[in-house]
Amino acid sequence: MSQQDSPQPRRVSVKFFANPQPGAALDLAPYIGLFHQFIQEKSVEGLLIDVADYTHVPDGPGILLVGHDVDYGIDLAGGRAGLLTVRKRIEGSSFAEALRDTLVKSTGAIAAIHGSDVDQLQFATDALEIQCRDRLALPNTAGGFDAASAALAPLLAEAFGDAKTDITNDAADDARSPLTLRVVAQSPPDAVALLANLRS
Amino acid sequence: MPGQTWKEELSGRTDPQWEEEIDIFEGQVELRRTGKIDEKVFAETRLRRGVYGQRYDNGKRHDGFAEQPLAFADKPTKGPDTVWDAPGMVRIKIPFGGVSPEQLEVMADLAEEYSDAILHITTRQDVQLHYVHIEDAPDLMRRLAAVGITTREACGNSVRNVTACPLAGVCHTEAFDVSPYAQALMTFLLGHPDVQDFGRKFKPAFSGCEHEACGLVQMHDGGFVARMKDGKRGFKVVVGGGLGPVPHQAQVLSEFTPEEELLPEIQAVARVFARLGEKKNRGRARIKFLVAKLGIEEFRRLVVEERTTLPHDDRWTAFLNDMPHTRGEPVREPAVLNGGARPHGFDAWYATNVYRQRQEGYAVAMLNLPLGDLTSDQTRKLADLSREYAGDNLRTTVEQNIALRFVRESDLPALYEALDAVGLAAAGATTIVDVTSCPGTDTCKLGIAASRGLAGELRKRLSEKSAQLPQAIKDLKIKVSGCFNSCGQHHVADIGFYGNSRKIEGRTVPHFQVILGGQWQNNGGSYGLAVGSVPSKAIPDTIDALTDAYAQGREGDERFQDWTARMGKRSIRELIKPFMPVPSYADDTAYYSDWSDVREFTIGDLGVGECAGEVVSLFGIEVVKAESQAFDAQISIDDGDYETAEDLAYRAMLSSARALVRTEYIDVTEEPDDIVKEWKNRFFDNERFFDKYAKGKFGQYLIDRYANPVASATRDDASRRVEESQLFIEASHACEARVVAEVAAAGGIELEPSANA
Ligand code: SF4
Repeated sequence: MSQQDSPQPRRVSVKFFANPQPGAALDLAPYIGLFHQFIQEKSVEGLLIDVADYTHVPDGPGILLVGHDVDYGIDLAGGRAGLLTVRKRIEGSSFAEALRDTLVKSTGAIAAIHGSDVDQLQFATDALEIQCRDRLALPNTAGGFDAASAALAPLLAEAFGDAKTDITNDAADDARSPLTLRVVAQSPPDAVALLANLRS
Repeated sequence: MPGQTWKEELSGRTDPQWEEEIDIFEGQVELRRTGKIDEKVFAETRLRRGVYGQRYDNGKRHDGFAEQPLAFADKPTKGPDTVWDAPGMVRIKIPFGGVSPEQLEVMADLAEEYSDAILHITTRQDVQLHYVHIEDAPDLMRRLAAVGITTREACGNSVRNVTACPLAGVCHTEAFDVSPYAQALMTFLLGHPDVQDFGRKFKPAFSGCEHEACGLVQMHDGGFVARMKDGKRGFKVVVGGGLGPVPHQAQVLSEFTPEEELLPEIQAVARVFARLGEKKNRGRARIKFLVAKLGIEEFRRLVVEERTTLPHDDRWTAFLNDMPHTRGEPVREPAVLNGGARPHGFDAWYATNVYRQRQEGYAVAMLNLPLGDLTSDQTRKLADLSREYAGDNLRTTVEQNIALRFVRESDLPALYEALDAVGLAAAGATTIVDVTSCPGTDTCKLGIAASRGLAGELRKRLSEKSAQLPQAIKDLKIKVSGCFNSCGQHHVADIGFYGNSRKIEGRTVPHFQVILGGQWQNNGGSYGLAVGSVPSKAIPDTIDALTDAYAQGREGDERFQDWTARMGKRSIRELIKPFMPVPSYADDTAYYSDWSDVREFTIGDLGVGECAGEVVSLFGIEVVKAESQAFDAQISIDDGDYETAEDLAYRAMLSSARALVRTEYIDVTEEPDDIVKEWKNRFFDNERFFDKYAKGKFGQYLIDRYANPVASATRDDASRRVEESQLFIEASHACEARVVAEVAAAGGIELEPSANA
């Protein structure tokens, strides 16, 4: 696919899951303070605006660090805690470029969280969920999945190196959901190494 | 193959007029982006399209230590002091709360693609999406328009969403189903030339009966209560109600308006309001002020006269010809709940969330949404469940919930299990745990305190103990607003709160004013009264104290409203008094930040100089007198002594003004002439008393009362004056905080020499 034909979604997201999955009584309150600290100290990438507490919503966005071009959240969707990074308002980038940027921001945020005093959650790199939140550019169809997987494969090779990765269509059973790709990696590098690979 | 743009993709699937309007709006976005139209013109256009500002959109935010600029790109503004790239809110009008599964699915997509994957149900049955970028708004509107939803006139000085009881059509006590009339009114007035020139917004509401809460018509600008007369359908029409800083109960315009006269009558009301309503002073521009100024008789005469001049319009009655008298059809044959197995948790949910319809074998299942929020994923699941069990019969509610109607009773256990699987089966709908809240400081530019933070905390605490609560406590309603503007509808709650703040030791502490005894029944038939301001962090304990006292002290089936009236404000005040003191910062820093927010609380720059500290204490001491007078005024209302109450409330404003004046001119006398003259010169005429958003509204209360003494005060006069005095006192606190800040910034204060020195 040429760069010209390649889909250019306006919004994509990446979620790294916490390992092991915490029990039901996870207290997310410390992440409110941590995210305010991130704003004060500009610890993660993006123009950061505010912190929203959605812990009252079951399996919801949890604690959200809202930005202009990127949001970070301790997300509980699907009953699985993880760090969700939503890259927004993407202009003129291909899907692969947008994803690379999102992965850089996301792994950077993981490193910042792991380096903080808040240690309720540790994020693993052996599985991630990628969503294309732009139904016009990349619809949740077999064709959309093929196009997205093709664009994703070289990026995964670059980020994960020798680690074997598999991509599956995670929302094939519900055409209304955004196109969702599940990536599973065997013996993956950790977030810091992923970030280094993407930046090298 | 999808189109290149949503415009191409959806072309031909939308009402052509709506399509054209959205194209025009998109053109205006571009014109403003390139600086070709004025920011004020664009701001009004944007608001009329439902695209609202959001907190921090002036490009600044206090990060807990200092105000910081938000480094948005340098672009034209999208309104005065409103940064182009700053996220905003889009309000989606849902007439009478009626929404279909298909519409829900589209809103779920929009929340995911343009917002934060959360749909927020408001206290006026709208849906709000937050953190939306202005440039995404046209496509968002196109996608809504393709499923028959508009955001037009969801904000701005226009006719807002038409609300109605979510039980309309299935209720046991209604005269008839009002939803088709609400739809007809909305369609008729949307974009109507006679509603384009209001000084302020106009909120209409329909109710099927008088005595339940239903549509809360008494607190609306225009309210319509279904009535039958000689076998004919019609409406009791009321006008001039409203919450906001000074709440008014609506007054009766017509005891019976036949259905065919409904639309022309409201058109005549709109014309009178557009012609005579205040335009310059926003604080007095709602129709309630016009009705109060003219008196209901004169207002009625003008409406009747206007009606005779209206050119005939076929649309007045066309809707009656093919109007469905119920909306949506059940998807399943009726069947009562049989004796089959009930899943765990079902009985508790059934007791609070299920209403048996007038139609035998069907029920309404109410979803108790936490703070009105649900995710995109939940929304899609809800659309599936609606198709399976309820068809098109969904309604949003003013209690920020969603009702699934025409559910076959025998399906309720299966529906409960399916809802539970997606986190939508919380019990306690419309009970004390189902706390209502406006957006407050989370996203609202006017928010003073964290209403959602408080509401979330209360919901959590009350849910944990709800099984142990006596029924009388469970039945109470709690509503929270982030400021005096009352979007959380705190005036009609048993226990209501609105956010304010107090200066303690030079720091600002979030507080909530406690409002007790509002009436939900009788369409929001009377409003609660303020009993005192409590630090935000002490509110949960305050609620425990109030509910415990009520549970122990109520006589027979006495309602909370009657209990508070019997107890009297003085005794109630004694109950909350222990929670009013604020510990010093050294003893407990928690009081100095708000719920769900670790930043030290601020409503501005906190730097305070030593000399300024003396000013705080002088004002602080003197303003207490004003607060006691306002409180005594309320007690006089309870005692039925309205003249004393009105006078005390006026004197509370004078004391508050004097407290401010004495920070600069210590020898001001206690004479009203002297106080008003000095206060006006020093604080009002130079706009130092002005609030950024309310401007001089609260100061005007004193000026008006000083110029126009009341000869013989009625209960309404007294209640209004008490509300005004409280707002005036709040404004004085805010003014004093600004003065202290200015002085601190200037490096100290110089007291003006005494005039007699
Ligand atoms: S009550 Fe105040 S804080 Fe709440 S939404 Fe209304 S204006 Fe904003």
